[in-house]
Amino acid sequence: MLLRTRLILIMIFAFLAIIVVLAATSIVREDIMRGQFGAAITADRETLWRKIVENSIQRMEDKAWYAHGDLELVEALSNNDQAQVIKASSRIFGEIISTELADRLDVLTEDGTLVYSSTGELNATSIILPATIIGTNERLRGVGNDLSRNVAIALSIPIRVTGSKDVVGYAIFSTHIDEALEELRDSTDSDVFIVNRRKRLLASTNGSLWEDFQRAEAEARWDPIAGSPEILLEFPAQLIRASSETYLLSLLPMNAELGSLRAYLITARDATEWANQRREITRISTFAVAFFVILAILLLSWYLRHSLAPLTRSVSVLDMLSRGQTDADLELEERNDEVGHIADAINRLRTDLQAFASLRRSREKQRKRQERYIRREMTKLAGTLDTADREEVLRELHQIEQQEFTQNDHAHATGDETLRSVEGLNLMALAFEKMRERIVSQQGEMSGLISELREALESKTAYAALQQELEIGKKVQLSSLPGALPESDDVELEGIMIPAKEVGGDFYDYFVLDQNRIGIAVADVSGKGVPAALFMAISRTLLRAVAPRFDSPGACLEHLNDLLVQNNEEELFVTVFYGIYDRTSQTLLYANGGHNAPMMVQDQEVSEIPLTGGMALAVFDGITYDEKSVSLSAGERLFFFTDGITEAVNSSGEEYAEHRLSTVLGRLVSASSHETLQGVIEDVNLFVGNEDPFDDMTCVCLHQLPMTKTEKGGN
Amino acid sequence: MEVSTRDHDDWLILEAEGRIDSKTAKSFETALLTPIKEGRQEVIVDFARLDYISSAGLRVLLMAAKRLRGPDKAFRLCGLNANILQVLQVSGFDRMLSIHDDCAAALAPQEG
Repeated sequence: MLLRTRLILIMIFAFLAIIVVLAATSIVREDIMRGQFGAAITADRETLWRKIVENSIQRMEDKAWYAHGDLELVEALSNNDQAQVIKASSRIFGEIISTELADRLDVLTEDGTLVYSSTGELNATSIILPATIIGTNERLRGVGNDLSRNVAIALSIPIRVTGSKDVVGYAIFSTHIDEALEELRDSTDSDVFIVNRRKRLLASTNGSLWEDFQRAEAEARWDPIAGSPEILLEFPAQLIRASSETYLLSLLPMNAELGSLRAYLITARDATEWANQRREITRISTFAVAFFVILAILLLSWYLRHSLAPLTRSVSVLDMLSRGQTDADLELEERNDEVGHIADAINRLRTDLQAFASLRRSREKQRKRQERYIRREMTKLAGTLDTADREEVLRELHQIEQQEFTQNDHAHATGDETLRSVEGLNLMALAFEKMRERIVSQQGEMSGLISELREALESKTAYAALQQELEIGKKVQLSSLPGALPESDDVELEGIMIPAKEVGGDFYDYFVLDQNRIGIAVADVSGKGVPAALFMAISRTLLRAVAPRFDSPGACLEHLNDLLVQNNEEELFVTVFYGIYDRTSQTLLYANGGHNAPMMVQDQEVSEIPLTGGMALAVFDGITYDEKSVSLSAGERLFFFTDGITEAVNSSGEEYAEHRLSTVLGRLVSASSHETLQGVIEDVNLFVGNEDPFDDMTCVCLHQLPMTKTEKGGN
Repeated sequence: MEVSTRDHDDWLILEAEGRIDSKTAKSFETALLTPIKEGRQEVIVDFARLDYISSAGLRVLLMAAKRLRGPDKAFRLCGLNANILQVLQVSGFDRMLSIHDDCAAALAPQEG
C-alpha cells in the first residue's frame, strides 16, 4: 500500500479514535450532568413539595380549633352520639369549605371507626389509616390515602374533652392532593403525577400525559436522547420520550406515611425543546465534525499527494535510470526539504549515469576496434601456421565473430553490454591462447625441423661429397673397362656398360690370352651399391689374374670361386659367364656360373646357347663347373648380357624380357658389334621410356666377321 | 613386400608377398635371418604370393641356407612361380636349395 494511503488511513483512524473518545466522554459527562441536574431538580422539587405540603398543613393547622374547639363535636364524640357527630361534622365541614382551608373532613371515634366523611361515599374510608391514628395523642401530619385511592394532605386532630387528656375521637382535615399537585405544577412548570409501585396513576395534573408515557413504554422505542422509554422508578431523574416530545422526569419517592400506599411523586417537565436543541446541536456538531474530518482528510490527501508527487516522480525517474534509460528528466521546483534533496541527488545521479553511459559507449567502440584489429592480426598470424592448425584458428575466429553478433542482439535486448564485452573478450583470449600454444608448438617443431635440416644439410653435403666420390668411383670403374679390341679382320669384340644410378655390380672383361684366344667374361654381382661395386672390383681383378693360368674356363671358374668364397663376409655372390674364344677354330669354350645364357645370332635365328648348369660364384667352395662349346660361322655373333637388359622395366612394370632382345638382335643381324650394342641399348631405352635404369645394363658383342671377297680367296 | 610368419610344430613358415628387389631385400633379410639368429632351426619360405626376386633376395636365401646347413636343421622353399624357379635354375642355386611345390609338401618329412 502506498505510503500516502497509509498516512491517510492512520489519520482517519486517529480522527475516529479522537471522535469516539470525545463522544464517549461527552456522553458520560452528559449522563453525569444529567444525573446531577436531575438530582438537583429532584432535590429542589422535594423541598418545594415539602413546603407545599407544609403550607397546606399549616393552613389546616391554623384552623384546627374548628374541630377540637367545637363543643358540639366534643360532646357528641364523648357521648358517642353518631347523629350528633354527623351534624356537627357537617357544620364544621361547611366552615372549612367556606374558608378554603381543606376540602375534606373525616371524623373518627376513638376506636377508629369512621363516623363521618365529607366525601359522602357509602364505603368511605378514612384518609388516614385508622391503625395509624388509634392511640395517638398528638396531631398527625402528612399525606394519606383512603381505600378508594384518594390521596390527600391530612392533619389529624385528636379531640379531647376540655380539660381532659382522654381522646374521644379524631378529626382529620385533608386537602386533596390535586391542589398541592397543581401548586407544584405551577411552581415547577411540570406536570405532576403520583403513581404507585406498579406505575398506576393515583393522582395527576395531566392524566392523558401519563397515558402517553405508558403508551411510549409499551412501544419501547428507543430514543437517542431519552434512551429506552421505560420509566425506571430507581432513578431520580430520567428522560423519556412520548408522543414526539421529550420529558424530564423527576422522581420523588413519597411515602403516604399516613396512608397505606407506597407511591412516587413524579414531575414531568417538558424537555422537548431542550432535547431538540440537544439533538440539533448533536447533529450539527456531528456534521461539523464529519465535515471537518473529511475536509481535513481530503486536504491531507491532497497535500500529501502534492508534496509527495515530486517523490513519486523521483522514484519513477530512479526506476528508469536503473533500467539504463538516462534520458529521463526530473524537473522540479526548488524545495529545501527531503523531497527536494532527493530530487537533487537524482538529478546528479542522472548526470553521472549519462556520463558513464557515454563513456562506456566510447570504451565499447574502442574495444571493438581493438578486437577487430586483434582479429585481423590473428588472421594474418594464422597464415603462418600449417593448414590444419590455421583452419582451426580461422574457424575459431569466425565462431567468435558469430557469437559476438548474437550476443550483440542479446545485449541490445537486455541492455547488458558489459556482459557481452566480457564474454567476447574471454572468447578472444581463449582463441588467442590456443593460437599462442599452436605457434609455440610450431616453433618447437620448427626448431626441431631446423636442427634436422642442419643435420640433413650436413648429411647432404657429406652425401654430395660421397656422391662425388662415387661418381669418381664409377668413372674409375668405367674407365677400367676394356676398350675395344684393336681392329682385326676376322672378329669384332666390343662391350658396353650403362651404369644404373647407383654404383653397380656388373662388369664385363675381355682380354687376349694368346695369339689365338681371347677370354671373354660377363659378370653380375648380387645387389647394388658400394659393397657390390667393391666385390665386383675384386672379382674382376681376380679373374684377370687367374684366367691366363687356365685353358679350361671351367677350371678357371672353380678356382675363382674358391678364391671368392674366402673373405666374403658380406655373403655376396656373383654370376659369371666366362668363355675362351679360339679364333682359329671360331669356337667358344665356355663355362657358366649362374649367369644368364648369351644369345647367338645366326642369320635370322636368335637363340640362347646352352647353359652349363654351374652355380653362382662365391657362395660355396669346392664347386665344379662344366664346360660347353659353340661355334660361330661367318657373320654370326654372340651377344653376352646381364639381366639389367632383360629385366629393364617400363612405366607399366613390364619387363623388356628375352623375346624383345631376340627381336632387336634379329633386326641388327647385319650390324657391326658396335651398332649391335648401340641398337640394343637404344631399344631398351625406348622400351623403358622415362624411367631411370634400375640395374646396370651390360652387354658384349662378339662378331665373327663375314668373309670379305679378298679373304674368300685366301686363307 | 610383406612378410608374415606362422608356426607349425617346430617349423617357422615365412610367407613373402609382392616383390623382393634391392629396395625390399633388407627387410626380407631381417625377417628371415633374425629368427634363425634367435634359434629357429627349421624354416620354410613360402613364395606362393611372391612375384619376383632379385639377386639381392637370392643372396638372403643363400645366407639362410648356409646358416641352416647341418643335422637337425632344415631350410626349404615352396610355392615358387615359373619365373622365380627359372632364376634359381639359371643361377644354379636350385641345386643348393630344397625346393618344393607347396607348403604341405615342404612340411612332409624328407628323406635322408
